[in-house]
Amino acid sequence: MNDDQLKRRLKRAVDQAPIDLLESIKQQPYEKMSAHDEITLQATAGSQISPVRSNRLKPALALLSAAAVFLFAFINWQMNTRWVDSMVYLDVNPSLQIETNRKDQVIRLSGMDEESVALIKDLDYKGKDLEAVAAELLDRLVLGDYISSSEPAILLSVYNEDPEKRDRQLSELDQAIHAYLQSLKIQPIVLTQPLDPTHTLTDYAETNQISVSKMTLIRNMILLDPELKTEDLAKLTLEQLIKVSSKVTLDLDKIIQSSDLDRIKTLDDHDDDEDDKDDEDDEDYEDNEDDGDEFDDESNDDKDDSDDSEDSDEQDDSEDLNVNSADDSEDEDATEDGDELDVDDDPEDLDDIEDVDVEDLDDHDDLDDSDVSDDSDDGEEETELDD
Amino acid sequence: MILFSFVIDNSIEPQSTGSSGSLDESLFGRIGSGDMAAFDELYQETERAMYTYALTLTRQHDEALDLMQEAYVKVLSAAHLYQPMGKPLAWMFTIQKNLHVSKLRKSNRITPLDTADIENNTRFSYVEDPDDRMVLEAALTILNTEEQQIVLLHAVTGMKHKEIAELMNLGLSTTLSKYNRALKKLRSYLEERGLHS
Repeated sequence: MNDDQLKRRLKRAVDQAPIDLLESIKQQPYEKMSAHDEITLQATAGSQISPVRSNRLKPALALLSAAAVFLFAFINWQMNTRWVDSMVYLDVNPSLQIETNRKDQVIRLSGMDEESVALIKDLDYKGKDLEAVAAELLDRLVLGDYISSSEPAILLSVYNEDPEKRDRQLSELDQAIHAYLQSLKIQPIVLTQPLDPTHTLTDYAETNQISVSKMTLIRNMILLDPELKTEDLAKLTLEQLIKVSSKVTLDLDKIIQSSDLDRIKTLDDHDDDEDDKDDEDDEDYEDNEDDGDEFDDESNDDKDDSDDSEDSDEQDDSEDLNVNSADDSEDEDATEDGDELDVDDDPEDLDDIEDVDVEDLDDHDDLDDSDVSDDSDDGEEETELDD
Repeated sequence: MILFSFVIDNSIEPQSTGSSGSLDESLFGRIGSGDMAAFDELYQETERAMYTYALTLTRQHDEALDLMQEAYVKVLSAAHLYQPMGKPLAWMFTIQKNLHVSKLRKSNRITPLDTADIENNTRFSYVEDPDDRMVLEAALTILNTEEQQIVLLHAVTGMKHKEIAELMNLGLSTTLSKYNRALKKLRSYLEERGLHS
């Protein structure tokens, strides 16, 4: 059978098909369409009408599907390993920021200042478990004498979009820090807080050159007591912040979680005793005020040091030494800036300081002076943070 | 404007039912204006081609008729929207194909009829000559949809390979190649079943 015969047979067979639909079609009700639908849509030039179309598209579709699967896998891998899931802040003075992926592996570690950058230098942290890196950091903080007192204050803050995971990380890290430091005979006071950084908060943190976590603590303290000022609090160490909060009777447990809250109160009581013992320093402070002498004088620091050295209580000594060391650095800054204190020119400012700062900071005159200076410079400006 | 012509292959069969001559695109405009005489003309010109195309989609006579009827009603509904693009029959085939695909989706029928379904049916009992019927059933059984369309449109409507190639957006050589391969396959199949010239 040749091709022509086949074609003739096919034509004869189809031509015999009874069709005759014309009248039936014309009797069908129909409405004029306002626009083409998916059935009547006219093909654009170059398109085709046969099912072959889908066959020819199959390789392209398969390729696209493979690409989509690869892309999905790649994005998933990125999300699991490279994308930041949590931000953990460890504030011990200095402040450290740890960024982790979904698997709680550290992907980035950064410090707020030169000290912290030096602290984390050469630390192999990438891909390591968060708790392991935290332990390594604590090790370096102890070796670097940043955690020197027997009851160091540590602010632990975590940001994660998932509140459950955030709380879990806070709890686990809190326990890990306690366990690690207790093995070194150190009883830390760990304050934990959830973070929800906003642009405003970040801006304030950058302006005051402190970490977002510390800024969050300060913001929360100010929310509890609007009389407090960001500029003043930003200069204080974490332990000093705790003392300030106790002095102005802030309910710390409203803004932080800590299993060490009772010990904070004990520490404050202890500090009160210390205040009594250091009345002599207060008298010196009063004398200086009356005389209008400059507080930012190195001789005053020396005097404080000598006063402290006469103190028979070893703990007082150590704490005074620590604080005075910090004060010294601030004094130096003040001196370099030519920021001579004008406390004596403005008795009202001094009153403020006495109410809040002077007493609170355990008679550390130099630190109070710097606060006074800021008050004087800023006038009555109140800096309150809100989200 | 003559945009699509049905040319009879004189070497095969001089007369072709309803598919000779040319299809005037202006018919759609007239139909859209309510000119039913224009619709009559369109129907007469395209009936056999539409049926052939519907048959390659459905492989069953009755379903092909249903599909045709739905397609013509759609043409009546959308004729006034037709934009002349040079392929009026391609648009009508597209309507049929889209209707068919839509119907398959609704019925969740994603595979064509089984070979056995076609071989065992009596749907083409109207074909008087058993050999002719056997050839048609064989074509609808062993050829794929694309091969059926190339072979049947050429054999039944007399469309030139070039026109079929344009209609299906295939190259002419591809169309000819598929056509020859399809006929060879069909001939071999029929000869195995004892059908000789």
